[in-house]
Amino acid sequence: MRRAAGLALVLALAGCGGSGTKSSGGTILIAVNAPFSREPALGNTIARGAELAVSQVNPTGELVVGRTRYGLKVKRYDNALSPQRAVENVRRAIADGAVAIVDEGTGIDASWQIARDANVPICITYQGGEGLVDPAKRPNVFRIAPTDHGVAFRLAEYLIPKGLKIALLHDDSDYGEEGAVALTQAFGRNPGSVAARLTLPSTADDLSPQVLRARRAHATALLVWGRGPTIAKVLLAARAAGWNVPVYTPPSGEDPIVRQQLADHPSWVDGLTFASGRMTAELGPSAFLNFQSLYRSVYGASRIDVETAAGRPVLQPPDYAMYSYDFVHLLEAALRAAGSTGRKQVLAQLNEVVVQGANGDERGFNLKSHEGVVDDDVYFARFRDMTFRPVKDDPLSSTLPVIDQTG
Amino acid sequence: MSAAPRALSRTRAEVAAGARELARAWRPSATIVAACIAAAALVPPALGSLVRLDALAATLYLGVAALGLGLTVGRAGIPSLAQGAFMAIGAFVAAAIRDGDHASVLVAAIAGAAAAGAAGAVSGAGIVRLRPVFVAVGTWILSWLVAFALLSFPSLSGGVEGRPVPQGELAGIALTPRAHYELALALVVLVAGAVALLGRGAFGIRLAAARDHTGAALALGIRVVRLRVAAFAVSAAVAGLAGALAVQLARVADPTAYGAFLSFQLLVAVLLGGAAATLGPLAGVLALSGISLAARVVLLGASGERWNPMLAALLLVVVLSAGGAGIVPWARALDRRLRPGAPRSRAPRTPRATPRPKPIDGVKLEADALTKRYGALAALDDVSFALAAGSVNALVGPNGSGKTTALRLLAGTQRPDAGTVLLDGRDVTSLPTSARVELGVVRTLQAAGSFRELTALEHVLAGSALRRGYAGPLRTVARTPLARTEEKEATERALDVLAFLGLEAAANVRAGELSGFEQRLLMLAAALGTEPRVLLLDEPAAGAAATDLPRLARIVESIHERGITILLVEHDLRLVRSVAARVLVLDAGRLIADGSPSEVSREPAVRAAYLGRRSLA
Amino acid sequence: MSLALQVVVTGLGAGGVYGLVAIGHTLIYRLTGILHFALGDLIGLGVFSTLLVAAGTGAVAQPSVGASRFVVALAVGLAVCAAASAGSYVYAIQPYVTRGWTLGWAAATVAVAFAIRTTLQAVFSRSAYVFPDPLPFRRIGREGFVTVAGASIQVRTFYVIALSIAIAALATLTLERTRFGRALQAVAADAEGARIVGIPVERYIALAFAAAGAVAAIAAVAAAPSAPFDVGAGTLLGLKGLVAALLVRFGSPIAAFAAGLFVGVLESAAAGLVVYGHQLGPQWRDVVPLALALLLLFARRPRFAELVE
Repeated sequence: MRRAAGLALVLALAGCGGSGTKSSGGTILIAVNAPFSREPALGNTIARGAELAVSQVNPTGELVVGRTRYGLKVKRYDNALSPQRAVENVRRAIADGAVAIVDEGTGIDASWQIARDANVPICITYQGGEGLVDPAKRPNVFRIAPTDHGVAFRLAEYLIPKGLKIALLHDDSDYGEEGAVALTQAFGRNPGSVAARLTLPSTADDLSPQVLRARRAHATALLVWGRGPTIAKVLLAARAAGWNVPVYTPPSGEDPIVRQQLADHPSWVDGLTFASGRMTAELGPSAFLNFQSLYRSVYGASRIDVETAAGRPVLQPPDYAMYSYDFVHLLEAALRAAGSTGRKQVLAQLNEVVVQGANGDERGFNLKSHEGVVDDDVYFARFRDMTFRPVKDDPLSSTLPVIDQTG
Repeated sequence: MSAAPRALSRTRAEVAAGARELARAWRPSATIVAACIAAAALVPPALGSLVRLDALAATLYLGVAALGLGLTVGRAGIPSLAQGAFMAIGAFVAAAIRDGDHASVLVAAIAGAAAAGAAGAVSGAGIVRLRPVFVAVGTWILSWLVAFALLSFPSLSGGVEGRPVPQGELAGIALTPRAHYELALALVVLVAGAVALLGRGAFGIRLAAARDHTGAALALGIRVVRLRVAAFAVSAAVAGLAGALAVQLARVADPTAYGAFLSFQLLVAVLLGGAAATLGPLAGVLALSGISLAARVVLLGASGERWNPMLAALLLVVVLSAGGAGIVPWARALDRRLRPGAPRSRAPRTPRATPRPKPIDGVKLEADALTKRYGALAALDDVSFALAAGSVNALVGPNGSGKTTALRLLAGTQRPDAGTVLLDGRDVTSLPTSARVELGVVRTLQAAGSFRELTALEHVLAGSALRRGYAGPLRTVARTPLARTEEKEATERALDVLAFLGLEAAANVRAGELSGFEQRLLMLAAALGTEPRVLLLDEPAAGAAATDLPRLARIVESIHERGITILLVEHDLRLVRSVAARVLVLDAGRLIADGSPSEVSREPAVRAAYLGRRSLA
Repeated sequence: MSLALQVVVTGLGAGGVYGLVAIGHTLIYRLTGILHFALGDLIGLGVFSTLLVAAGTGAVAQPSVGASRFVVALAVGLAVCAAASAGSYVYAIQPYVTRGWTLGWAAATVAVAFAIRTTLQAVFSRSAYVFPDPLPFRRIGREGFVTVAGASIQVRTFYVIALSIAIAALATLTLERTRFGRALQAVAADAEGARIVGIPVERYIALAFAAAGAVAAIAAVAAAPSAPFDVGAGTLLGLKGLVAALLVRFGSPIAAFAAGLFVGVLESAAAGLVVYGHQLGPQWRDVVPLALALLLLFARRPRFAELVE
């Protein structure tokens, strides 16, 4: 449906522009700044989303802006999860003439100013930390990804009414530390529901001591804010001690490594609940499913080497690819609206345009808000048989359909 | 009113003198270096958009840190694997100070350098005393400790986002990558100059002596530990400065960028470029960066950055297996091979007719009931003697009779278990070697060997350093008029000493290229450089050919003529008979004879000791 | 009580591996007078070689490897580790030790460490890997876990501790009872004398290096399935083992092993230690052993007291 619309647009433009000559303006470069060497799965997901959008925008191979034809290109820059490399990459991308930067989020606190001096917009598509995005102070930084703040508040909103005594566990990675800050804010007004706050060493092999401490504090639920391996270790420690406490996590619970590490004990993964940005639209899952099949037709299905009880292989849906995909579409719309590749005009137009996102929702920014994903647009999903489905006891989640994850 | 013009004319005179000195000391290599600096300074206007100035500036800052490391590894011989850790300390202190743009870049840079220097002094105090293997391990652990501390304490290091550093300015100029490049270039020139001056001055000469032959350096009264800690701290401060400015360039202090690899990279750069040459480390950094860039462009593509450690490792292996000299020394050797006739260094001055002898007051050295035991064995047992002022005495005896132990006790290398040593009536038994050398008691060592990499002139300068008052590191680097005058005088006096020993022609020759006997003479020259009043010589004729002995005897005579008290430990009885007025004989730790050579040789106990008791039965 | 038991047993499990690495470091120091900065990475190389043969570099879940394939993988991993260790001695250490050039062997071993690490990072690019588990521990207790005095402990931990002790005992016995072991002791006491007596010193030392690496690698492979690990795990092992060996000043193998256990427990307890009413927190895990080792180094007697010429 979208494809047809795009084609029609191009044809229309071709028709319109028939009278005047269209000059060739070279290539528009979109930089993707992500950890390709340290977390290639994440880096590839983000880059592929952008590349997919580029191939969609110009099936004929070019984009017409104003009266000039441009080719669109995506170039990858590896930040290896290092802020210093991220800053260098931004400098290099600007020197290479990038019109926009799709960023995983590492090093934004340092690199945003360098991009701002060149009027280049940066869109964060993974990290949700507070303070990274500030429309007033950082007018060139945008984000399309669930925010830590939003996830933490939704978790509090979901868990506190259940009357649970929650142990807030976070690991000592930066993801964990930022999450801890967000959780403190979210649970600040209900100290009674917090049984314990513990820090988990990310280099430790065995987290049984910490889990035991949480148990001793009479916790009836665990909220683990850490990267995938930490969540796996907590589950191992708790279930091995015979403690069937419900475990809740932010989007990192979806990380395949949790299921890979516990592939020996599928029953221990059952019941793990994570919060994440909504994959499907309120209107229905068709948009997302179209996106998924498009993605899979180009890049193949992402197997995670885990099987369901019935022996079917489990596939990972390309949810994070949606965000970079949506940004490239927004960029395209801004370029057309601006009628030129002038950076100031493009930046201004980014605050105006609206597109339909990969999952069917509308995406857009404005002068007051540079968040593409609304704060509380977070849903909860629970694992069962190595696949997840939206929970039924949350108003938002209960309206969402189940996405098939088996191959 | 008249003071100002006078000061002005004096300054003018000093500047003119300095310029003349510079012109005299100019060499072809200096022209090359100057041309390179000028070319480098013109890169931004000429090639501005074609090159990545921020990457070049970062490389130059790395070069500054490497130059500092060259002082420690090359001159002081300390195998430090922690230079990256000091860069990290400088970087994070500077980043913390720059937080919120409350303090200027200059303040942050100085604070970073100071913090790193302090850390260097503290850790150096613990590390430099250890054996080389534990120095390497200690610095290795230090670099990992700093890396882990940064990763484990996000409040220090800012977590995965690092600590952002706001845009800064220096002297009103905004610090863009271009400004950083010029700043880095200027810093490289300054630091290279300072390291060169330090290395050639008394500080560097003593460090090199301690590196080449620690025992001999200690015997000359050189305070080895203190010097090494100072060198370690200086190089740490340089690394801290480089780190503080580099972090300002990078705009973020990133804990993952200061791991053990940074220290390794700097070490590879130093070895690649040549630790022995001042500019070697800089050449190494440039070579390393250039080769990495070339490899990325030609072979590896965009993701090639992660192969940098492998590349550094390979280059290191190449340098090590090719002998470990490095690029700059190789270039120099090549130059020498291609142009063998070219004058290599400053020719020694025209010899004066006779070196002026400096009048010395010899002093009396007494040993009173000296005893030294190793377990149950008594190396020395209740030995007493007195050496008259200005006399030549010999200490003889069969092997193992305790002669070297006696010298050690007199010189302060060891403490006696009982008894005292009196110098001119003053009890010096509790004084360490360096204090005794200051008072004028110095000994030469029994074992062969000199400071192989030092020239003959530098040997004497190593000894005379403790007599100088204006040879401290700061004055050396600042080249104050007092320091320069003193240096000239010290060089003149050193040349006198060499002439005295007949070695003046070899003044600028490295000791390793001289014969074994000449090297022993060099150690004697170094001892003479300390302006001794008592000279303790341990087997100066050991290993000497028969033809060298008359020369040695003449030298001992000449030293005696100057008025220095001499105690000679010797096996060669011909030498003893020809120079000594008095002979002391030791056997199994006891003094068995004390008198003129002819008296002593008639004593039956002496003959028994030497020839064995059976033959006299 | 159960918490303390938990901490101790967890610590002992990690400490067993550290202890074997410490034995390796001690042996190498006694034989050559140098410290091998790449020992940890060599062990990591062995572990990842095993992983490569057993399960490739793609995503891996634990049940997917058969026992025979695992045995082959283990053999390959140990062979690679042993060969690389011996090679590192012959090419990166021995030429510089004979020249007495500290910087030579120190820089060369660090180079080996980085070379191995870079290669592993290129091949195994993910941030965490799951190691296949050939032994059916999950059938014991509750899916591989038992409860002892209120503390829940992985059965595998006991296995690792037992295996480490067994290997340490075997190593000590080899050193004391076999000809090879006694020859090594002779080399450690006086290399020149050993050479004169006819012992092929260089060959034996190379074999000792190979053994040091392989032995620790076995324990590392045994411990690996406990939790996801990454490319840097080998380097950490080497460091902690070095710290343990330093703590006992390169004494006997038994002392080194005990020191390794101590470091493991210290690390495990450091997170929970309460100092001046403040809980230290997990950040101190890695920092405490290193700081301790550095302080002990500083406290060594100054060299110059031993140096008398």
